[in-house]
Amino acid sequence: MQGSASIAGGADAAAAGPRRRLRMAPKLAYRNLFHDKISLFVTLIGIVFSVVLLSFQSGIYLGIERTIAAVLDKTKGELWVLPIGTKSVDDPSLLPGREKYTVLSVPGVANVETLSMGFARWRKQNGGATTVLVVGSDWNSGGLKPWNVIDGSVDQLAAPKMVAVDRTYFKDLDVKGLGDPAEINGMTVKVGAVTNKIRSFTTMPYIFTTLGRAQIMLGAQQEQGSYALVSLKPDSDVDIVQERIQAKLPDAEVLKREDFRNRSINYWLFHTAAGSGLIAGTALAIIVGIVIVAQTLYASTKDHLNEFATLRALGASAGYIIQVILLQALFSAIVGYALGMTLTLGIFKLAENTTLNVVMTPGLAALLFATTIGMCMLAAISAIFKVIRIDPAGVFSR
Amino acid sequence: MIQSKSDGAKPSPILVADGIVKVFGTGAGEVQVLKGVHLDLLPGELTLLMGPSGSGKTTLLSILGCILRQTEGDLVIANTKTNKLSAEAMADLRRNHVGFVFQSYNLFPTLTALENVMLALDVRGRMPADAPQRAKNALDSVGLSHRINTYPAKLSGGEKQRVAIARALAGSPSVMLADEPTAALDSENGQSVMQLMSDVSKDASRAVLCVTHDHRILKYADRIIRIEDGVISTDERPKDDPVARANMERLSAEGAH
Repeated sequence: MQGSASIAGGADAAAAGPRRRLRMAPKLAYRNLFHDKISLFVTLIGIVFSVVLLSFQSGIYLGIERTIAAVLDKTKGELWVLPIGTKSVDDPSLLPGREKYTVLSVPGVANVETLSMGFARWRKQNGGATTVLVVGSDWNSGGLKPWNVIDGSVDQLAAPKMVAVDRTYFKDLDVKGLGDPAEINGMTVKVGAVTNKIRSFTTMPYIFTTLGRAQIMLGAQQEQGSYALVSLKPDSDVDIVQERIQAKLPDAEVLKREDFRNRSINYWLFHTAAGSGLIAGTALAIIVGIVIVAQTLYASTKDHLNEFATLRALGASAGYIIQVILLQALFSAIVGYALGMTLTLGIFKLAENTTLNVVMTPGLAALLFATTIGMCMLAAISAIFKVIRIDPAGVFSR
Repeated sequence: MIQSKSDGAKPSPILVADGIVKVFGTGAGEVQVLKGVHLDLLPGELTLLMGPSGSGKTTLLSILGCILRQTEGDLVIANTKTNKLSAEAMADLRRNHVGFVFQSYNLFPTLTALENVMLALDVRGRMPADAPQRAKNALDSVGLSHRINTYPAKLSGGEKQRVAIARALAGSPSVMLADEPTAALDSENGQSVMQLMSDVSKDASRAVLCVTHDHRILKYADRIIRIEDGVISTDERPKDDPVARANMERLSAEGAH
């Protein structure tokens, strides 16, 4: 041991020399967190559960949104003419007819395409039947063209009886691939193209075919469709053209594509039980996460109360101690999120070829990360209240 | 820097407590633990605060360390009157002027010896760039340079208390307050720790006060204050007073047995 010479030092010594910020608070937070493995495990279970549940709820929400709006997102027209009272794009009925020519006479309109959509009965080749949603359009003149074609081709659909089906619904439709037969509303059809991941929110498979064939299947007259898709000339004012078309078609409704998209999504999400179920699930995930993290952080803080009191006695500010608690919460959030997101992505991968459309985007992942951190910070409040009320005098034996 | 004790005029006290009263509870449950304590701590002195259990030693120590507020009276540390300071200002005073050594060490079990000392520097906010070196020096000065990366669980009681002293020293406090620093130690480690405390007190810019029941360590004292029933009963400097020295030697010998 060295003598008093090396021990001595004035009270002002610490103030001398260049200054920099030390980094002990993160180290203390990290060590406290990882010191008690069981407590950490419980915390992480809570966060992982929340992250997976939140990811599922929001992934399903995005999936539903994309599924509902898929047909709308694949069309080119700025304006949609639809039957009055249409709630959603996949809740179609038929327009009175000849809207195409009326709309074409409106100044500012460049092109109009008729889209025929309607429910029909699909009779399976080996017996039994199911309801499908037939979509007919003339894609050669700018109408809706089936996308994600993985087998056959769209051109083949021009041949007699041909339809396109999605691979996801092979089992429901009792088909295995190109050439398989079926009947739609009594009309014999054959699979001429196979698409991938064109899912329907209503779970009724989309069947794509030509406009003429769809009109026959759905019992519509020639020139009668469910929707008229209106493309505008460059430099046309969409609001003015919308008003003009509406004035000419009082028995139909004219909406911008974005407005019809929002109406379709809002209908399914907020006028049916689907939306409330998702919202309830999301709220549950956040509540469970907050409660579990709050409990474990509080318990961890109680376990280290004497240390926090010592810190306070050593002169640590309340802010410093709060920083330690918040860093513990932050580290929990980062580790829990990493584990939860890995698990989520694995599950999403497994769901890829099912009818469940769950979507994860970089933006959603970032939002979930921020939510997880916010959740853990919120959970730290009870621990912070505990720790700022510490009496530093407790460090002395009385 | 070494500042030796002045042989001339009496140095100014670093800490002055004047008429300290502490009351716990209210109404029928009211207990007056301190009943008007007058005390000053001089730099370069090791003062022992002794007294029976319940006499108010620890309460006084807590007040002198700015972690408990007195009910009445004035406390001045490093020319700062504490009476109307906020809790954060009191914390600021502690981290800049007071070092603590606790009976049960109060080390952070998840941090190494070096990290424990660095933590005491870290709570001070912005510190010199040589803070890690400063922490190493503090551990070196208490003879633990070979144990800097050891966790408290692997240290002996004496070593733990040395780390605690190094932690208190690292911030270069004006006042060092120790609560029964030898109570959990065997005789050899206790003597060693007290020798260290005595060395620490030789700094002419620092005053050291130890609360103790341990008569074996009386020989290290420059000054012995006895407190009984909330008031100071005796305040002696054995090295200057033959009667007090004889009394101390007798008690010290009794303690050794």
